[in-house]
Amino acid sequence: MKEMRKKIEELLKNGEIDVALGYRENPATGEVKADVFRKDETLDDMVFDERCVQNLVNYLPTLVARYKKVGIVLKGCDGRSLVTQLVEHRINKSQIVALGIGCEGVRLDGKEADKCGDCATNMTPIVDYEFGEKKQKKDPVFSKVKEIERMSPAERWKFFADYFARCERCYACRQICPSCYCEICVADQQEPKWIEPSAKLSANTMWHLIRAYHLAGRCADCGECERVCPQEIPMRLLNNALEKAVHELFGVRPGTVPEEVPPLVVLNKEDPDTILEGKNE
Amino acid sequence: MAKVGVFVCHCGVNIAAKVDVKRVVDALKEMPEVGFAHEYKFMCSSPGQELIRKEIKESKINRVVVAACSPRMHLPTFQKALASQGLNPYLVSMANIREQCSWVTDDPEMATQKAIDLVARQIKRVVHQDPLEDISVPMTKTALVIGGGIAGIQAALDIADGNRKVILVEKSPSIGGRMAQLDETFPTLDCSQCILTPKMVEAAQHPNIEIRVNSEVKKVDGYVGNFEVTVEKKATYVDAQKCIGCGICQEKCPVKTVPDEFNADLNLRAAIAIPFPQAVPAIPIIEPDYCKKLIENKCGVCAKICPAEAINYDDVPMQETVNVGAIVVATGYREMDPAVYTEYGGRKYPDVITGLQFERLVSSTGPTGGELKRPSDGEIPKTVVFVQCVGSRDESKAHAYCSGICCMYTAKHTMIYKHHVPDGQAYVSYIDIRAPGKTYEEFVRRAIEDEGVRYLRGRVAKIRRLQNGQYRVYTEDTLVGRAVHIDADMVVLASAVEPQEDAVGLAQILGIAYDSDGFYTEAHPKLKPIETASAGIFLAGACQGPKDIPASVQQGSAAASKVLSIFARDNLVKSPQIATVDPTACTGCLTCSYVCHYSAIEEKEFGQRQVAEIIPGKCQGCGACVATCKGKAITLAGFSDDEIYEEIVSCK
Repeated sequence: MKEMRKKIEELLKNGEIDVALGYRENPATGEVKADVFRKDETLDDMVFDERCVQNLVNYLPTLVARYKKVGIVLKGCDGRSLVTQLVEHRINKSQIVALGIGCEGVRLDGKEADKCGDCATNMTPIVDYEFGEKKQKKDPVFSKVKEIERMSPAERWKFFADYFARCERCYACRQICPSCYCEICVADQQEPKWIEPSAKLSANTMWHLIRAYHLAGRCADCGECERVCPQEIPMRLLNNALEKAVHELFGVRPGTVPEEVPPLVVLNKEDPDTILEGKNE
Repeated sequence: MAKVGVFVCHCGVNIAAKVDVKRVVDALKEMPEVGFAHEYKFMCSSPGQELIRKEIKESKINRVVVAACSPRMHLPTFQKALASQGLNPYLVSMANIREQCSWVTDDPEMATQKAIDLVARQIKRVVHQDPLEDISVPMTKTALVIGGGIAGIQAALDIADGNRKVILVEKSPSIGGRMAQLDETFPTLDCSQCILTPKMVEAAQHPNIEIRVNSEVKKVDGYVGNFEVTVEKKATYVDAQKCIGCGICQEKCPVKTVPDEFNADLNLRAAIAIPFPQAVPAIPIIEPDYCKKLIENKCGVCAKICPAEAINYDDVPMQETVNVGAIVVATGYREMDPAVYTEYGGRKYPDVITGLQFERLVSSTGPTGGELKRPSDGEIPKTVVFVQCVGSRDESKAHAYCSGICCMYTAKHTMIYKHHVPDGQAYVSYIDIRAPGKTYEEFVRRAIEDEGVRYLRGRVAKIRRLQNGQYRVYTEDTLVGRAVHIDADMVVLASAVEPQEDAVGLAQILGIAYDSDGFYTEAHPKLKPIETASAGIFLAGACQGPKDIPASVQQGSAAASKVLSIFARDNLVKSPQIATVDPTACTGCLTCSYVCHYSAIEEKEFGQRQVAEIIPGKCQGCGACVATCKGKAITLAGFSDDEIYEEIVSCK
């Protein structure tokens, strides 16, 4: 952490970056939050530890619009998130200095965050300066998805319907997600009105399924949607179910390879091709 | 204000036998959008179309719904009826109450109810349809023919004679294809090469044909009228411009261990070779897997003795992009490897050979110079058994389909055999004799009656090699109901016709469909046998399914006429049903450009940001970008969200 702080100080001082996006500790409360660090300040309260849960990539589009060059502290999951942003032309790499830090896992509600269990990369795949230890990749287990898959369709429907019924349609999940950036969200469209705006089970279900499907093959599993949900709807389960399908079909985990176009939008000859061959596996 | 005219077709009894057409009409009349509803026996007939024309004029309807068959059958018919009255042809919609309704139920009540729902949905939809104008785009009037066999050569010659340029791409070092490997052809027994080589030479000398051998299609972009095709020429290590085709390299090459593909692997040849004497072009290539110079940097004899200094060991594959307006796919077939029939000993017993190997054994350009000697010991085989349907009509082991050509070529083989060995005896083991072509049946009768070939109906169970070098063929004669065995000197397996090894890969590059066997699928089995589902890409020859020479030539000519009819127009008239981007809703993620199969999507500036833009001339209206755009910034004309939404919400 010291090294990284020193590097960021140096980058800010010699003007290689205009601002740095990182985590700041409030010494009074001990709270850690995302914040912007500037040239004229000391970086004593910049931290990186298990409290740094937030995905900083979400703040990048605003910052790159204002500054020429932005430094960003990246955990593995946030780095994957950044990859998807670069592939989708949201951000130009030339405006970014990626400061990767070997993440040891983050904690939520007093225990290790669930997303860390199946972590695809503890180090960001896109990195200009690397700090800390880079760990070997493990194959994902998707144990919670498998649990859901073992349920009967009726049980599964009840499981999700109970959660969907609680949704207030506050759209915190949408706002926090770096990959949810449509100019006009399908949920906001009035003509035709694909999704009823008021919070009721059928419309909520529609919203959650569309949200998850729009993220298929793109979600880097930063887990922010689930973290911010005031009703504690297990949204990562839907994301992970699709991630699992993509991983099984294409052997790909979103965001792990820089510049890799998501498998669902490219046609490769090697793709599993059960439709064209008329076979149904 | 939209005023919809509704026309419900009886289609004779096709629809009316199940659907109570009058009830449908009465129910629809109640809808506020409907200005007029009528029924008629055949809407596609002249009086039926006249009805539409009359009502547009008299009842002042400005939208039309025809409830009849699939729009794939008759939408253009009704579009023309609208256009003739000055109404935009895209203001008609069809409800399919035949294939999707009357044909698929036995219950008249349910059929009638479903018909009402289907038509009502189209009435709701048609109100949201906008008038559209056809798009006119220029095209490249050059054709690409993939495959230089007889079908491809014929297609290329016909297009070239129509005064259009043709690029003929052939994977192997020479054009000619399978037909060049054949000895004589059924049903006339004329020499295959004698009738083929004039066509090969004609193609080579034609000013409108550019032949590219040793080349393969690697990538296809674009659409009918304007394809961009990447062709890769593999490294041949011989400069075709310098080579004079003298053949001295082939003679002097010390490596003589390459299985001779042209002779169906019956002999070994040099590592540098012209594939066969009449090859066009007659330019040798080096086999890099065998050449000593290329493997271990030794030898180099060919370069030393080449009088034209044409050898280039540093040759590399070269890619080039060509622009063409239409593509003919004529990649042909391969013979199935009979190794799966272990009970026949194919590929194990030297004298159990395939049909194609037999062709080479009796051919004057073959490994024995045209003398029929069996491979194991060079003896003249006095008894030969020809086994039909090896891999064909045998779902348990290989293919369910009939290979089509084997009955005829086996009859031919028996005759050629008898001409080579007049005192020999030929047996044929067959399931059925299929000889439906012109003078084909007579040809088979000639083999049986004039040449004394013995046809035994039954499937061979096993072939066993005997101590004396003969082969005991265990079969049956089902016509007399007994098991028989024949001791033969040689056995010829009529191995099945299969798609080329890389057929599926090429189909994926071209974006054309293929069946579960790997043969390319025509757009309609009866009415569009030449077309593929991709506009501007046509099929010729055995790549579509097993075919003999006359059928391949016919299809080659047919494909050429399809190409020429496209090229006969000045411009390409394109459907206006294409996608457009709303730049205010576009986030510029360009995911649409990844899914676009036609390279029709580019980036453009819009205010401070980059957004996607669709090139109208390139867009084929497939809708892939529409489906992939999460922000719904892309609309496909004729399939707008409004139209689809109305259809969905009017479902009961």
